[in-house]
Amino acid sequence: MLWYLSKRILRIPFVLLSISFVIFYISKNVPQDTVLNILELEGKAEQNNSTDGYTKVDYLQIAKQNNLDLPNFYFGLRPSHFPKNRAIFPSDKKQENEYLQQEKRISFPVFQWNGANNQYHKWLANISKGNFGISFIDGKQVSNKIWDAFQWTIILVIISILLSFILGISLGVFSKTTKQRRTAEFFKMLSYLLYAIPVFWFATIMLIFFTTDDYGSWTNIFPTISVIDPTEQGFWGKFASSGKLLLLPILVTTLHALGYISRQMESSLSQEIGKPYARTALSKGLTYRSMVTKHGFKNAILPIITLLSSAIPGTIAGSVIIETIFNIPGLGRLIFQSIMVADWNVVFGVVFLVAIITSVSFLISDLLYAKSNPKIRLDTA
Amino acid sequence: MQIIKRIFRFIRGRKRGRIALWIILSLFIISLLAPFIANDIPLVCSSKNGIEFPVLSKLWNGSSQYSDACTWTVKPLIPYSQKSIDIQNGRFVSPLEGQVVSSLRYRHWLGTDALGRDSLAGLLYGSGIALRIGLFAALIAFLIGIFIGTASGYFGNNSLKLNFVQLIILFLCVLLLGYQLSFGFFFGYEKDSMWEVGASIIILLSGTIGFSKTQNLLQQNIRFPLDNIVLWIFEVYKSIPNIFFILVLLSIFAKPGITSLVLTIAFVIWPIIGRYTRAEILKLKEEDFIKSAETSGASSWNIITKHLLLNAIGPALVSFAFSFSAAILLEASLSFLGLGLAVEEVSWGSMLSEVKNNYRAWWLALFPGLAIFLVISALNYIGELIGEYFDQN
Repeated sequence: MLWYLSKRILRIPFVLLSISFVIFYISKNVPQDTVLNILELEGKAEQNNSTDGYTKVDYLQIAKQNNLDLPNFYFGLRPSHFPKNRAIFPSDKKQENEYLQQEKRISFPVFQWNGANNQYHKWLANISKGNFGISFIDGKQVSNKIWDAFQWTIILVIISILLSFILGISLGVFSKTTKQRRTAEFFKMLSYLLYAIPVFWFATIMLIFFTTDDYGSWTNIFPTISVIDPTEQGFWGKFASSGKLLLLPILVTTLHALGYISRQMESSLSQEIGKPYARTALSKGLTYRSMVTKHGFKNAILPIITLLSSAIPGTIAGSVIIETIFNIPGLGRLIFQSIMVADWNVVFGVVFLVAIITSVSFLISDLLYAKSNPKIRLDTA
Repeated sequence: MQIIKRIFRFIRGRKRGRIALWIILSLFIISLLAPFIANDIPLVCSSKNGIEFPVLSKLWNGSSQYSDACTWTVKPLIPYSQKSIDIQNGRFVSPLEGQVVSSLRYRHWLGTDALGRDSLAGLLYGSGIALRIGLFAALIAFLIGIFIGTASGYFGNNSLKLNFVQLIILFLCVLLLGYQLSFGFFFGYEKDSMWEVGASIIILLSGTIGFSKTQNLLQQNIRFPLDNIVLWIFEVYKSIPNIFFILVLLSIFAKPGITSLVLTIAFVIWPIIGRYTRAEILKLKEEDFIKSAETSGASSWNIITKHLLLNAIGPALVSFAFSFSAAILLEASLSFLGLGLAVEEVSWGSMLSEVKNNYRAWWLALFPGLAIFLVISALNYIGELIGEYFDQN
């Protein structure tokens, strides 16, 4: 077990490293100019691609401060007729590209070693110190921005996951043990519906019909969506004044997950009930209900527990749509808005956080599974 | 083909399965016939030039030139296309309230949106977009997933042995491929053609396969850890939120449209199919008939194509049905967020997203959402039934 544990833990840094490379690679291929973003933030540039308001000296200085003049990676392959150091100022770059494109000749790749003095290395070094840089939109520290958003998301996620698991498991057990077949059929159908309905449609329908009294006074159950009061100090102040806005998103997320979990619980229970030990328990004289709740339940709950750990990262990643619809300033809305305006520092931070949470959850789920099932840990050891 | 017939018979045997098949069939029919059911130009127009077919000619060559002085016309059932703007009924007209229309025929039966576009016409045309995106994205993801899943499941970490020459070719080609793909990354220099990428992939494949019979070059065979590499890719995929991939890819593609959306969705959902296929192949590999084929000296290619893939057709169909519905759902959610398609395209998700401008327009949320829900549940149910069919046998 210790060997298995250490092997699993040792994998995490490598996964995170490859994730960091993938993210960095993709971000470098997105059409955007970070230096211009910073200049804009300082009020020197009016708009993207406008050449007025800043000089070449300004541009190069900002690029140097943010390590953007360095090569991207430890090594690279460059066409043999390319210069070793490329121009970075936009108009120079354009000129150089035109010149290089005109020169039509077969170019062989030349290996180029850049050493540790490159953007990826510096960026990784900063991240390992917990320094994600500043947001290009409002100049705030990225870690502060992420922490503010994370609190909203984690409250949403934890409450809805807890509720949906408790309710889903009990619903699954209930529909297997109840003697009223019609009620069981009804709950089965309901959980299928809840799971099959697209979550954004469900959320919109709830928002349309249950936040106003247009359709009769009883439909005005939930608060209308609004912007969270920015004057309140601290997270808990904001939570106290506008925490009620979380009610509807929690309800929607819970119901959606509830359908899935109760279905899983039911199928897991049905499998266990078909096994020989269940028949033994019945022939010993146990009632059907106590056989299910005392023997079947303990075995059937195991796959559900492993679901729990993968549900947390899944719900965080899936919160983009819910938070955009309900205007909750959480991680999902943050990453959506940041990608739309190419605020890469924030995006890196959020993706990294989610990746760490995902890796840790999968680790926990694997450990739980290995603990419950010796076959696995003996196979891989 | 025999097996597909039998699957159809099995699905038709269930009442709900029959309904699900009808839903998918009507989706196909509606998406094909949408321009003939809902259009603002007449189907047939008789003028002094003779009889013209404006809808057909628009579909055929893109322009709908017809003389205005028609002596008689045959108009489609719904006299609006998805783009035609009815100014008099603009600003969200509900299907239940009174509309400014000349006759009942011109009524907007499912209401209008902010610009006065007819919801029913949008719903009909949206089915075509959902179908195209779902089908093509699922198909691409299916092919990639089956290929990689089968290769990693069958060869594992130990079976794929390369000799020295192959290894060198592989290394050089990966280097070349990286060189082509990373032009923007390393040099900040956009290439205008991508043919070198295809060329290096072809060299890579032909080089590694072509030298496979060359035993005597250098006798050392080196094990290629294919399964570990594929599992690594899956793990990275699982850890990075999908929305990041989607948003970034959509911003890398120069122009929004169906093609870029299809590629993005396929790129996101192929690991699901790949993982599923890998698990199925791992299960099948332990069966006796594969073992006996191996001992009787069948080549890997023959084993994969003639034994493994033919026996994995059930799980493959199941995963195709599920990825079809996943692609449609993903397209709808992306359009709902206002991403992907060009602004003037009308899809179910983009109709739904107009609700964000006016929360009283319930008809814009209810009907497109219902369409998405029906199609997705029908596909999922068909997938479940196919799985059930193969479990029985």
